[in-house]
Amino acid sequence: MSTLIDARQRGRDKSADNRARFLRRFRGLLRSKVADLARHRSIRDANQGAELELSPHDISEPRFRHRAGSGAQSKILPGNDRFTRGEHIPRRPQGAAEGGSDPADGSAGDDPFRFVLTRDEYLGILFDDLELPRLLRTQQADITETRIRRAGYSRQGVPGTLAVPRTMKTSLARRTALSGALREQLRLARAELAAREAETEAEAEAGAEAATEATARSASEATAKSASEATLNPASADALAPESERTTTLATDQPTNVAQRLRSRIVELERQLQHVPFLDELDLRYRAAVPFESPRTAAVMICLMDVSSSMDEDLKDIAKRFFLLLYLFLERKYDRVELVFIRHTEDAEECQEQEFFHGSKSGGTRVLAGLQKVAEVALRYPASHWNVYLAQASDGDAFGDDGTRSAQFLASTLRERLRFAVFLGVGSDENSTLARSYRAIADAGYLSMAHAANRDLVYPAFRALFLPTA
Amino acid sequence: MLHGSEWSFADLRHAYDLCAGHFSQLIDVPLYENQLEVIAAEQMLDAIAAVGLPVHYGHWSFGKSFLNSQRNYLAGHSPLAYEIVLNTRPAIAYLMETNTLAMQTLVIAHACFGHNAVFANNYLFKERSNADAILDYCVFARDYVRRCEERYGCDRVEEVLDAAHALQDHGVDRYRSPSRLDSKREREAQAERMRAAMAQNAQHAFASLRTTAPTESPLFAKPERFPAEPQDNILYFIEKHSPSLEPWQRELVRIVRKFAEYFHPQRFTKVLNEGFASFTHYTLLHALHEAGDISDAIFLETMESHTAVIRQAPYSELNPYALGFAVFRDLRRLCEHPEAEDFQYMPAVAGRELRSVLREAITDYRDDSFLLQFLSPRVVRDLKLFACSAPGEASHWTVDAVQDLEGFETVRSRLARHYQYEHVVPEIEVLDYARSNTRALTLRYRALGGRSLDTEAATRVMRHVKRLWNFPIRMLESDDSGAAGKLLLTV
Repeated sequence: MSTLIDARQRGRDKSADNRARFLRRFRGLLRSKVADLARHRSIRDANQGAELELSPHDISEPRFRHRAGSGAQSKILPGNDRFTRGEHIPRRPQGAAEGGSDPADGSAGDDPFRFVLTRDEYLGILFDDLELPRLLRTQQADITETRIRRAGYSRQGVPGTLAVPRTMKTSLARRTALSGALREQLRLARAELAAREAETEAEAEAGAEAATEATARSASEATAKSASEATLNPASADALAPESERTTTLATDQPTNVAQRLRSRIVELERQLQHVPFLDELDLRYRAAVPFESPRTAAVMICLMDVSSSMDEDLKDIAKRFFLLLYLFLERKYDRVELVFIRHTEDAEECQEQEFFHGSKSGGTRVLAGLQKVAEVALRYPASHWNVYLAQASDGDAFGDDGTRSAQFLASTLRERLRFAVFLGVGSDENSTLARSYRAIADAGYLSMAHAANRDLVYPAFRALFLPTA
Repeated sequence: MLHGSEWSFADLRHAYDLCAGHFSQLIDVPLYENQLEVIAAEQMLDAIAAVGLPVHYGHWSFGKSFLNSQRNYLAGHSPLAYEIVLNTRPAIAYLMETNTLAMQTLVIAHACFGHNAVFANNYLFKERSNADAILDYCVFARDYVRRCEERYGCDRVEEVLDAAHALQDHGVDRYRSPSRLDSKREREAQAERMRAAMAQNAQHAFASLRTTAPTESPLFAKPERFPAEPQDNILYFIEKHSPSLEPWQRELVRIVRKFAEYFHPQRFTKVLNEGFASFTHYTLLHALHEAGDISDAIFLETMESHTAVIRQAPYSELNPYALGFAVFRDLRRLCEHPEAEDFQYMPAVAGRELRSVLREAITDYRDDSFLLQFLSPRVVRDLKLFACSAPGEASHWTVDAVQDLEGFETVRSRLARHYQYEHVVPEIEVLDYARSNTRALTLRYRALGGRSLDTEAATRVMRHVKRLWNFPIRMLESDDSGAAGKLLLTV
């Protein structure tokens, strides 16, 4: 009257749908929370999930309920070890009872509702409705690249691509097919031999007075039996034909002689069976691969930053936040994202992340040097395989004609190599020399520009950059 | 003998068979067939989120409770339930795979026998929730909600469900038992309601033409009061009479109401149910141990969990497990070793045969009546229950009764009252529906014992109701007697 079921293998993610409904329902609320979090959160954590707190009131499901502490209150409580009838117990200010919670309060707790967003959910909300701008339509054709994809099995190939399980399967099938007829003959021969031997034994027991006539008769009966047995199986009838002919002729021979021949036939069949090869060249199967066109999914992000002494740690931190957001965003759009860090003062160098953000260098500022380095690095990433992004951060210092020349260089030489370039001005001066020079080419659509005066403005600036224009 | 902490499926089956043997010694009642399902922790989280049902319609509130319990579980704040058992037929009991053998044995005794016996025999469950049909109905509800979402969009469906959920507590006839649930009939009836609604719409179109001709001037006739009697099942009233709902929306309201009905008995038999289940596992484990079927280690481990379950902190809310267990254990004493006091205070129980008393207790009672009938002076003394009260404005509580014989009656009757429906859920009724003119709906809250309504929450609920009604809604407040009182809220 009971059933015991191991249900552990049943679907586990049953609540995923309702969880998604919850996130959808409070999307607006969550978006503002996530934006808050993105502003204040330490950079290292941004790539992880996030624990969010919602006010229970915002997400509560209202019910009719009594007002806490209203009306004539009555309580039954356990554990009385000191009170006697008629005694007074002072009431707490809000009408809460002595010891223990007020039942009328019910579950109306004010604990914030906390839950954990996975990394993907977090980033999904963070980058909600942001899109990569103008993946240039003019170049759409070369957004694809040729890649290789698995496509079943083939008979040709190099040893490295040998598909062992599939090969063994084919081998087994071939062996079964080739040896089937032989094995059937072998089975029949053995059966007949066994019958003969049983007969001879019976004869031996019957003694010397056994009539040779009887032997001959029973022998011929046995032969007839085996012949009819053979024809019962039409598939093996052909294969058996020579053998049954032979046994018919044998029937006239001496029984011992017949047994001898059967034995040698069995040996012969066993030998033949052994000659069916275990693995044949016919069996070999290789994993096949076919080329196909697919959208290019690799991106490289070149981070260029002015590290001259005017860029203090604070400004670098703003830049770093921006770079990180861009990186996370690109990572969601591409399979693979590579990072290149270039810092420049008067001259530019490629460096590691650590030096990039924390190393200090003194010197003046020459933006053009940085851009030239970018051009040099970009050569390593041919446009046929890579989407090259440039993110430049600077406080906007540029001296002499550096600004205009940089803008020109960006608009002419670099233009070809970059999928997208963005300039982030950091610090208080929104209208710096460099920003002014860049504005002209930005207007021409060669560059996107944003400005973040402090940390809190990084995310809004980032959002503004990538909001799809209607 | 069962021993060790690892278990195999054979062990579970063995434990089950052993429990079954001892259970039939304890009490003689029919049980639903049991279906034990071993599940993993994530699946337990899923089950808890969907109020235990294996299939449920989609709604964000289930996602919310999932996130909540998942976080608490992952952060180590709260352990997961060891088991969930459903009032279905067969009774599905979920066992966590991480439980030890001792826990599995305890859980089998607790859920598959204790709870199962209550589900299969208690009058409230038999009247209110149909264990045969609920699983089918779940599938129907899920599919129906899904189809509505495809057709009318998630937002519109969510709006109706949210509103209906806000009235969940008011979807039950307090004094009448509902018709039996039958998913096949339900499907047919749903199609029938759809057709009727369409026919009615067509009629309305013509009716407005006809009524333009003067008839027996209805303007001067005193409009009949509708509904004739106040209705406490607000969801039902809305489903039947809302002037603005489309048929599919009515059906959604109905689905929510049906589930409210299904869960109603569980809510009002908590002490009885948990008490009997705890009493069952306690008794069965003792019997198993005495018979040498389980090792000392297993017995001790289960007793440790048992004490944790029935723990009662002083001066805090009553733990239904502790209260229920105390009453049931005392029933055994009342039957087997009654004292003079018991014959005086508990004449209906003292000295009777335990088996029949137990059967009666789990069959014919719900929490309030159960406590009135079976709470003995001894239990009140053991739990040291005392009663205190304070009028709304008083600055202190007055102790009205303590755990002596003199206070016994007071403690018992007040305690029972705390488990009554109207104590838990505010008593709100549909008083009037002005269907011939403004179509306004009037609700009435009866302030029993002078308790007032939380107007902030009530306003939010009323806004939800408004989405289902679309015409003005008023809420009146009246005193105990029910005489129409002051206007409380309008939306």
